[in-house]
Amino acid sequence: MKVLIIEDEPPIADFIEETAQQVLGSELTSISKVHTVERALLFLSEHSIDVCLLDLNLNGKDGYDLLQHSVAGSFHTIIISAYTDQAVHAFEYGVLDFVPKPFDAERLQKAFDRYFNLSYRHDLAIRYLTVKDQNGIRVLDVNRFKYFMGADNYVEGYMMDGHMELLDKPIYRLIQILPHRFVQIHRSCIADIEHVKSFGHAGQGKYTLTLDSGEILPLSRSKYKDLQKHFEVNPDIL
Amino acid sequence: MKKHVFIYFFVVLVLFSELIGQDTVLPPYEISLENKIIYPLAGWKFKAGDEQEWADPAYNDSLWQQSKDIKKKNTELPVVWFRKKFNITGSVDQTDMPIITAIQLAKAFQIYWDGQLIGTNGDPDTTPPQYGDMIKSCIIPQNLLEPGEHLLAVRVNNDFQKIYKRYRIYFTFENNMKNIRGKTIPVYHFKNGFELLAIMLSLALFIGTRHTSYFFFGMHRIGYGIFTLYIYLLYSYPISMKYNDLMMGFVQVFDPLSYVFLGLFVLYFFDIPRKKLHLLLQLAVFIFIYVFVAIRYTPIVMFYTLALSLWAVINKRPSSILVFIGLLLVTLDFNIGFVMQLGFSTGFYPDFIFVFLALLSISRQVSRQEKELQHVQLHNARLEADLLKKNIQPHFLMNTLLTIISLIKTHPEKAIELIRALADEFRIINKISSERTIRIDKEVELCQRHLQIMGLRKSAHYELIVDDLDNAAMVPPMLFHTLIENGITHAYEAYESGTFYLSGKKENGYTRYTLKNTVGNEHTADDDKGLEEGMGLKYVRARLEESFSGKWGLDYGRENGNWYVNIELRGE
Repeated sequence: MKVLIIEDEPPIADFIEETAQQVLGSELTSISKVHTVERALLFLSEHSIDVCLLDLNLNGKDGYDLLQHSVAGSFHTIIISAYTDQAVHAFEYGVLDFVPKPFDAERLQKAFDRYFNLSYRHDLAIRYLTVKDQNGIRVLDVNRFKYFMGADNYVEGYMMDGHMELLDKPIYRLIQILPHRFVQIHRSCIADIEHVKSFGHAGQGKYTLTLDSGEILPLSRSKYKDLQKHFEVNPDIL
Repeated sequence: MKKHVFIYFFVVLVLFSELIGQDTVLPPYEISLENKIIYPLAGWKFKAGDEQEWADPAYNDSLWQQSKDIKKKNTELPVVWFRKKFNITGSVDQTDMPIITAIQLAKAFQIYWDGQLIGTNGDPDTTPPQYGDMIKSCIIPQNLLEPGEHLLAVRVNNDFQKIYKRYRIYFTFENNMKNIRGKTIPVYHFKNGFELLAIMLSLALFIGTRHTSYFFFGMHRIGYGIFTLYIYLLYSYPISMKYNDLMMGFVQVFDPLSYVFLGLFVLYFFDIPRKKLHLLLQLAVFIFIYVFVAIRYTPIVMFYTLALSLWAVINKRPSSILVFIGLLLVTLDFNIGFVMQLGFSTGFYPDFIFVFLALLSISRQVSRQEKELQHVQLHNARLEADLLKKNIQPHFLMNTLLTIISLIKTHPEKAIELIRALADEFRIINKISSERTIRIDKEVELCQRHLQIMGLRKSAHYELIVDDLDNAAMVPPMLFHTLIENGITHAYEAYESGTFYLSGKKENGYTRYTLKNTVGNEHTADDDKGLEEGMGLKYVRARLEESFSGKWGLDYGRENGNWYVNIELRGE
């Protein structure tokens, strides 16, 4: 596991490094520290990481810029900050956790637990998905997406208006931070179950799900059964 | 406020008392002279010299000159005569005592009615001239009041011209002598009480609030009240013309000045811009009239004041409409009354109404100021809270504590240094936070503690070099601390050390503080937005305005690679 620490106070960066080493043990394959926004951006453009531990100093410069850069990356972002009043906002952008300073190993452990637990789902509602392309960073309302298709290490996000956006995250990482109404219906597909028109057996042992807007999506057998249970309890959704 | 309401109630009571007082005056008889107020000597037949036959109604005065300009003494003869005919209609009751009253005829005189001497206050034919009673009432014998033509002849010392320019010589006719005092004195009683009340109230308000406009209003009422008092004394006591000169001197100075004070009141009450210019213009008009025209025309200055209050109405100054209405009434009243020579002012009512409205405006202003004061106090409290919050801000404390946790393991001696510096900083902040200003050496000490803390947190070394500072100079607390805090956040990355320079140069009447700091190598021109107006500068401006209202300046920028902030404090 590769970790990047973005922290502008060296003694605190040292403490985060030491605590992360203690918590992750042999899971940790590399850990780096940077102290400035510029160096953080440079590092991210040259290295791939799994988790970014970010000091969100929103009263300092470029706080939001860096946050958006970080959450748009292929990795997960865990905020370590003393600005606890900014936690809700950070979660809206899709961070995995917000660790208030000062913290201890136990608290950092919890944050990493979320990372390792693939069935972990946020209770706090994310509001924005951030995408990064050659035009720079764009912040999109999560409610504009209706389903996501996974492809290798990125995800194609399909929006209400038929538009498609590429998200730089593996599908099993994305699902961790999406709102509860998004359900992974297949190894490679996440759908908004509030937009489901019908679902069923499509022959040859295959199952499909049809959205209000007509798209037919792949549905795994196990998810088929889950959905049946779900709509028995909430039949009015269909 | 309750006190004021009580005073208004009293003022209204006084107004009503005057109404009741007048109602008790007997209705007029069916007798009239050519004018009820015979006024003034202008238009009378006039001749210098002294012949007894000039008192005779039969004497032909058609070759006499018309007395137009009686201000100038045009002959050296000791005695002059005036004659005027009156047509009487109606009849007199047996119990009446019809009288002619000479007012403001300064020197000795004799009054003849139809050739008969009806009154005198001395011998007109003396050198130096004799003084007599200021107001002399002469009873007209009933048998000389038959309907038809009658003659009033006045034999007077030629020195009578040396009279007071504003108040004209005139004669009044009253069908019953008893009415004069019965009518006049109670009115002036009320008027004096009223003036005294207005004077005391406005001066008390001035002493209480130090608001200059209340002082001017008080002075205006004093000036005006002196005239009222003078008239009251004249009617109430037999006062010799000898003392009248002294009294009149007072009146001549203070009464016209009351119009200037009125102008000052309006200028300051509505905080009209360019006060000095308006005052000078008003004074110029006033002095011109006073010296070159006639004192009795000085109420013309009130039109200027009226215009100023109109400006206040147009510019929506609070309560200005009340003052404007009151001023409009008195301005017209005074100018019609005195300047247009229609006799006395039309009565006290316009003045009463004006004073009432002015006091009403003043009381509304006082209540407004009370509210503003509350607001300012609230604002101060908020500033203080901000001040405390700024440095016991959770993120500052939490980051510092986490640094301590980290240092305890790696560099225990640094952890101890940090705890001590943090304790020192908190101790100083605790001590100064409620002060409006503190000694600059305290502020410098605070800055140094803060730099020490931030140096440990950022693994760097920050220094504050002080130059040319007067240690006893006073500045708002945490002024430079806030700027330094801002500088560290925006000018340096981790491991980048820096130096701050603080100097305070005293130049004629102001102190110019300059806070400079080097900028770290990793900084690009782009990062200069760190200098932009942020929360820090907002705090600094609020503090400066609180302690040096309007007497401070602030500018900042980048020079030779360094950031600088200049603060100018005037009138320390």
